[in-house]
Amino acid sequence: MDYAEHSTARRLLENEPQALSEVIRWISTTLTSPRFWSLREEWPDLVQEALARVVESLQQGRFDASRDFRVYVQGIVRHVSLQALARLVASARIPEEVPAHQKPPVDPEGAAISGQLVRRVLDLASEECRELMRLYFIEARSYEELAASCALPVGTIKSRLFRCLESAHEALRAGVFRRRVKEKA
Amino acid sequence: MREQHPIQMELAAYAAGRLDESMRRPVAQHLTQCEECRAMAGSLNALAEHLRAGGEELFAPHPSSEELRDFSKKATAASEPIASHLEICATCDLEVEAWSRMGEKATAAASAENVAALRRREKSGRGTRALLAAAAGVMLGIGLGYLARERLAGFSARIPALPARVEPSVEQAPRELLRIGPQLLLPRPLRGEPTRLTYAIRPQQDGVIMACPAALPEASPSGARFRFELLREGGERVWSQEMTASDIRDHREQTGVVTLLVRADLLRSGLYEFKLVDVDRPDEPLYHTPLEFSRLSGEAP
Repeated sequence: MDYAEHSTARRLLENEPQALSEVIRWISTTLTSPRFWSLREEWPDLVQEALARVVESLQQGRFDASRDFRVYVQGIVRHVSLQALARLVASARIPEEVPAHQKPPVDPEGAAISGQLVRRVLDLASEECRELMRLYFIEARSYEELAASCALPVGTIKSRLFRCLESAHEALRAGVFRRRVKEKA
Repeated sequence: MREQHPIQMELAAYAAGRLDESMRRPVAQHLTQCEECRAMAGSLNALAEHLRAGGEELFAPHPSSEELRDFSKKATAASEPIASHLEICATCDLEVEAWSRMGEKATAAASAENVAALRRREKSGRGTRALLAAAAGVMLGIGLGYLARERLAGFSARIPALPARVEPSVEQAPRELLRIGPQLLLPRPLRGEPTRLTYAIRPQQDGVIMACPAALPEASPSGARFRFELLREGGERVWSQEMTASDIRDHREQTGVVTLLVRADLLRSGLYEFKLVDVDRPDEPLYHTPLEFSRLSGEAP
């Protein structure tokens, strides 16, 4: 299949560095989502594998040029990652439950979450959430100060920040849980 | 949809250490009974800790793909901000790694060749990775053993910064090696009252690595002496380490923090204060933060 002259797909097949950069960034962004965090050690291999599959698909004309190439690439990355994840889960034992009395007052998983995972979670958050978290935790602004600067009720600010943190928690938990499975394997 | 407890709305303030005692107590009480909220509090504590430690850098934009590609070919002094960004950004780090792997033949075809080579390697010896992992484990063990000998004997030498990807685990370390557990990242100095961090010391843990982000006044001469100290509630000093301004600046320049090792057996459960003081003016701390240590089972010998 012929791809449009200036399309990323065509430029990739022509080995144009900028197109290659673009595709590598799409692949890296998808691979480093928290759900695939446990594959961390395999990420560089998976980048290569996903890229090779994308090129192979293009060479065989399997990509429909009327569709979004970025979505197509990300679909291939997810497929490659899910296969790797399935291999990992199949070889992993279920983590043993830690008795409640042995649990420290603060979740130990929290201490183990890496700064890179936090950065990734911030990347995935909305602009508004990032700004709220920055103001609340780094600039140490109070709810009242935030409400005054946004001209919103304090309850609304509190609720919005909570929703943002709840999403962050879900993402962090996904990354950490999968990493623990990997460690147990 | 998940059940939501009214107290969850207070977890942000709890993680930020901004609840007064009358609110903190019911939240802490609730956390002992509710697994869902406890998990969320754990995540938020870690998130808040990383936000305080990472600061604005965590919100900085990513370098462009071209900059990362150039960086993978040749890192220069001018690319220091990129190197610093890679420490906290897995996505960009992965991009650089991908470019490095492709090397000079940076084409999509080169990637396919690499995959083919990888598959050949996998076929020819699946045990290779296990052998490499074992070798890495031995090297890590030697490193930690050396660290234990140097540090626990006299507390005189500086601790080399640990590689970013090595996360020593108490459970994984062989018994004869030093078990240090997760690093305790102290909060950056911010306006308002400092947050009290809680650190759980595991039963077999030998030491606690503390990373202190405190900076010295620019006017301090290189030879000036400063002391990091840990005081138990009541003022008893349980640990201290002196360093020159020059040493402290070296640490901060290389890693952004000063890394310190404290023997775990010196720490009982309870409240502490961590301080950085000028040896000549110990009553005016340059940095201080409250801490709480909690031993998971058994007290210090």
